[in-house]
Amino acid sequence: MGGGERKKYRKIGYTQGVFDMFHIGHLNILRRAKEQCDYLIVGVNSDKLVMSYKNKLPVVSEEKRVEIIKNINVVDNVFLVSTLDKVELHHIFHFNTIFIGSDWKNSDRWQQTKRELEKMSVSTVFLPHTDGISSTILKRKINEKSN
Amino acid sequence: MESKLIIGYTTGVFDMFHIGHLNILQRAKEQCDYLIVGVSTDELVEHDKHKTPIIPFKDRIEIVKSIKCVDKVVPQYNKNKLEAWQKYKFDKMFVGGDWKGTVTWLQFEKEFAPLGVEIVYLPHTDGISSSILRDRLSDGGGREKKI
Repeated sequence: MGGGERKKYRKIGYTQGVFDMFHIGHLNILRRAKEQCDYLIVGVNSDKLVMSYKNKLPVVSEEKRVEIIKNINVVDNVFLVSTLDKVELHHIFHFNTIFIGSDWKNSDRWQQTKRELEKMSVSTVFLPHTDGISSTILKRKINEKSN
Repeated sequence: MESKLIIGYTTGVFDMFHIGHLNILQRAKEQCDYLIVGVSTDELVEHDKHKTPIIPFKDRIEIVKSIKCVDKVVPQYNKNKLEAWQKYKFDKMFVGGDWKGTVTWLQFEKEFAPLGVEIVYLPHTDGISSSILRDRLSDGGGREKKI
């Protein structure tokens, strides 16, 4: 993004996730993020990245996961990302606000990252998850139905 | 030459929203200027298909509403397409190609031709559907690891 565009968008937000089996919980996070920024960038975790920390592939391939997020109206830009390093991601995307699931709020690792980001004038906003929905819950519901 | 806004209409359950759903919506939008999407209520699906969608109506409709190429979303309470036309006055009605040649849709073609409404059959995306996703999950949870 060029300097001219950056002036236009005061608050550049960033959020990242797997977005496997897209559901209302994902949509709520994206909507809540967009409420608090002018331009929302979404990083979608690559298959390789997910494999590296979950030791299994998402149900839906990375191309399809990106394509769906790309077509959600509150999303301004989408990228396939292969790192969890938020500082590195800031160097690439130059966001000034990052949105994180609130379940991370009390982790020491996050407090550390939050401080590092603050040094670069990035504010961290914790967003609540939607109760009763997740890819895991979805998978369980589907399995229950087929039994 | 008079330039008229082409109104398109398509309907579906959109349970467990996936790339196949997105492709149908995008293909429909390519052939109209304003796309109205009818989302089947839980009651209609239970009555028509004798099963309950995994995702409740209120979430299914929110997701479809959030898709960029969709202009308007309405509930579909019944299969009366003429009634829908009275309300929305669409110029084109989009439906999956598997319905082509069926008694129901041949009948619709007859009913809608004098009204100037074109029935457009859209190809489905191969290799994806809510049933296929369900089967993939019952098999153990993910795709094959790439070697």
